Amino acid sequence: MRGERTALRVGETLISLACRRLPARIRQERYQEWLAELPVILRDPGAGPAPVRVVRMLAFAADTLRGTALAPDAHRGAHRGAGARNTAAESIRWLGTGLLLLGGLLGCALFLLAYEGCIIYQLATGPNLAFSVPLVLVNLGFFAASRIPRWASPGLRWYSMSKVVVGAGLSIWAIAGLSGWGHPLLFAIISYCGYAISVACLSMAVVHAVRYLSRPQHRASG
Amino acid sequence: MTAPLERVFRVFLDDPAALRYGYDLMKAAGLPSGTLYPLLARLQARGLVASAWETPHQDGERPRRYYHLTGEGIEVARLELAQLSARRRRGPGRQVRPAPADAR
Repeated sequence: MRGERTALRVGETLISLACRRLPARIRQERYQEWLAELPVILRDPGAGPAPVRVVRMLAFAADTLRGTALAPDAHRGAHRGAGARNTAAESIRWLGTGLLLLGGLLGCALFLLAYEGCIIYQLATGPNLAFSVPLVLVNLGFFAASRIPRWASPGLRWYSMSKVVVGAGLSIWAIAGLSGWGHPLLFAIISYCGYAISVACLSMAVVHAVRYLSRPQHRASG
Repeated sequence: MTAPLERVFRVFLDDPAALRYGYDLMKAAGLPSGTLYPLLARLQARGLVASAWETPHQDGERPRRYYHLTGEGIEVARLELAQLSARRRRGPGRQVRPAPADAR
């Protein structure tokens, strides 16, 4: 599966965080045990399609972290009640963290939607250089970052390209409007074409994001 | 006995000789890892569950740890499940309750 190594790395990080809460004498043993389960979950054919397996593996790691946070003494073999002193407070803290993460994800999604809404608004009412130039520059930065092998991501490449195209169209339209050069309708049409290309690039970004999660790849251990 | 413990005992007693990995137990008992592993650790501390590492794989896969009930664990699990079943059979209707005032 593509992205398996990245997903495993995230899982390993969570397991490593979980083990930090354990007593030193059992830490390494638990780390080895839980780490060995991650690739098994990720390759479990009965667990559903690849994205579901990734989610399950991460849920395993995250819940292990929750378990060690709520009852680190339980792993030491202490009495049942010993580790549960602050369980209610800890549960609330974990719930808060979960809600915060969910809120963050929702916030990101809303931000991207609002960003898209702003672009459409600019196309409908006329462009503004203060919006279109940063749009081009920021996304050129993302595009350059997506070419760096360490962060190479076709999804990010197509997404930033889509925004560069639409930003360039809007900027040209705005500059032409300010300098009174050419017919405004011509540049409006160029901008709309730019947006059409941008939508096509955006679809490519979505396709790559879906493929990234579901395409099979050779196992790292091969 | 807590519900997670009951589930774990039932899974182990389905085939007491079987070696169970953590993930297999999670699936079979329907418990999340954060509940299962502390439970297994407590059972191990009480001597009811034993664990061992499987032999390392040749393909570089990490060896996994498996669990099984000890002889004492099997006895305790059977006894506790039997007691639980008996309590459930008795049900709340058979419990001794004070008679209502109008029945006196």
